[in-house]
Amino acid sequence: MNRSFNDTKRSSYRAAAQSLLLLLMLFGVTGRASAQRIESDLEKLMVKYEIKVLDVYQEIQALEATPQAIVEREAFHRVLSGYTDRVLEMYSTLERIKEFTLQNYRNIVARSLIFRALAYVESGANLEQACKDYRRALILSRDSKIPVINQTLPYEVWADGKVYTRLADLIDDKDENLVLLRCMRSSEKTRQVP
Amino acid sequence: MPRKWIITGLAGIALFAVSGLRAQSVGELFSQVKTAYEEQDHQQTVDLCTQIIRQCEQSYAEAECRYTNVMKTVYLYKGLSEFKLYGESEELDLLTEAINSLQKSYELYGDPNVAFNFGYMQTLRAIKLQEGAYLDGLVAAWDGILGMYADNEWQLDDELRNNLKIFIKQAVELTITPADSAYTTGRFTSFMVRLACDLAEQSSLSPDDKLFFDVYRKRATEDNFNLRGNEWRARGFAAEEQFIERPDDYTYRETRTNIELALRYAKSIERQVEMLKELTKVALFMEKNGDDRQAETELLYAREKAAQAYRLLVERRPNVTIKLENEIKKVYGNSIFRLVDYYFSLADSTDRLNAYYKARRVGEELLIPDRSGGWKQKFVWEGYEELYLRLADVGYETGDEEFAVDMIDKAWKAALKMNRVSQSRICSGIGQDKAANLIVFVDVYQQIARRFGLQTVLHWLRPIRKCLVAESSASSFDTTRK
Repeated sequence: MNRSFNDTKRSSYRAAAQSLLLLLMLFGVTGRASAQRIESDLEKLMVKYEIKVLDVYQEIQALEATPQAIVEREAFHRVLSGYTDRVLEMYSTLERIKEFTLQNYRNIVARSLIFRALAYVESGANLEQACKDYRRALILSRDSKIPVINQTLPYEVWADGKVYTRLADLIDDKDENLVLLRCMRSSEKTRQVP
Repeated sequence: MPRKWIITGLAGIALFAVSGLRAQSVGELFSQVKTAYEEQDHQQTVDLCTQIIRQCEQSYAEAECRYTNVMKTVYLYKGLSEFKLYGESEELDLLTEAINSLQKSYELYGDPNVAFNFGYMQTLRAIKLQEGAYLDGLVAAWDGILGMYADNEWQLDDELRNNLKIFIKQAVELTITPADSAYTTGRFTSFMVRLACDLAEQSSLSPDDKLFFDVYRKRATEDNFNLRGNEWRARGFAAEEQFIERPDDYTYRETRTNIELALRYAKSIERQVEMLKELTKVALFMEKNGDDRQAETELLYAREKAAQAYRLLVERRPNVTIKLENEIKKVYGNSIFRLVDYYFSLADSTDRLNAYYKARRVGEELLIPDRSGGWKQKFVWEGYEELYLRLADVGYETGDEEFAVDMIDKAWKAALKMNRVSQSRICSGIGQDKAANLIVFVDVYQQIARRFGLQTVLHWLRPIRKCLVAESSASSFDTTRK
């Protein structure tokens, strides 16, 4: 009688432990699934916002060179900057979620940063920020097989009636004074000094 | 010694008074602010918040002054209450204060809702001050919208959709501020409207909302992203509808101003000719139906605008539809005809000959030489036979035989063409309406022929008239019998 009571007790413990394990496993799977969902959501949004960065950049290209367009250019820069910051924020979040971030994410951020840098360079305003963005973009894409500026873009960029499929060509045409190139040189020098 | 006592006593009284009048603590004031705000006592809220801010500016500020949650709420309540007060008094200083307070609140705590609100207020102030180039408000409001969208897990709810609508309306209003001068190219506002529509269309929209966003997307895109021109065009058409219902001077001026602004900011030739045509239509309608019309002024205006539209049509060859082209020709022809008719009618009351010559000069604007040494109209338009007929009348009255005969002959042929009747088939049942229409032309033709002694023409016209009269009366007889 006593033995059977012990057996029953043991089996009920086992059942409880099993259900606890099952619950933990279920939580684990659900947690992982929700993390994956967040990741994929963020990735989709990053892509979407990168396209918005491109849209704003192209819209700036379409602005006429008139005195009325000066304030509009500044406003466009701020909108472009806002979208770039959001892409950066999403990337930082992804970096926190994952142990390592995919090169694809880094390329998205790098491209967004380069567009912002180019917009600043073209208007001759905020060159310091342009340099920072450009440097950061190159650092982010350091590990990719082809540097981000030489990669074929996943979309076409229209500027001054021309179609660009690589950022390098766009930079060549738009950064006539080689501001971005000089940024890199000056940063190398500063790095060498100490 | 007593003096010392007196001084000590006075100091004591002063201290007592100061402690009595001592300001309440920030904590106490804050709870009063919350109550006042909930009770919608806006002035009280502003006063209490100002008192808190002043107390917090002192060197030994209380602990609450360092709490972000307290201070961001103080600035937020102050700003929102100032905005309510602005709504009551329309004093722009209050609006500026409200913007500053909300910006301060946003600096302390980056609530996207606050960013949207102060952005909205900044744009509102720009509109009130007629500063169409002030775009900071739109940028801040958009930043707020994106923040709210993210806060909402990138889903659109009703509040966000409403904010998008407010944003679009403000962007449109700002782009047409001030009405008569463009401070910007309008490209930025057009882009922002498209961005807002993109965002709104990511959710399922009610039919009304869908219509709203569709309309504004179209307005921001058409005519090379000409939001400014498109908005004036839409306002022009809306005013025109009202004008047609109630043709008074006010609605006429409003309609004309809106369409003239649409014309001024039109980017394409297509849009320009469309607006010129609309201006002609409106002026002609005013001349015909207006309560307070100045016939000659309106007709001269209509003629000028129609002539401009036609000139653009011929010289610049815009890519317009056949329908629009025909409408332009029709309003041009109509405005010339009506002006000719107007001067012709003046012959009764003023210098007769001068009125006829004026009418003829106006009519000649549409005439070009034809191959047989006469004159023909530059283009065929709906009703062109009437202009020939009126010019024939002018020729008759001024005694210009060649002109009168040429015009009445053209009028007769045009009338046959417009009625789709062949001259050889006049006597074989053309119908009462057509017969009645044609009799008028034959009558004038006969009159002219009689005046200038053209016997053979009379001989030719007599059987034609007879047939037309018979046709007209026979049809009416048939109709009566049925």
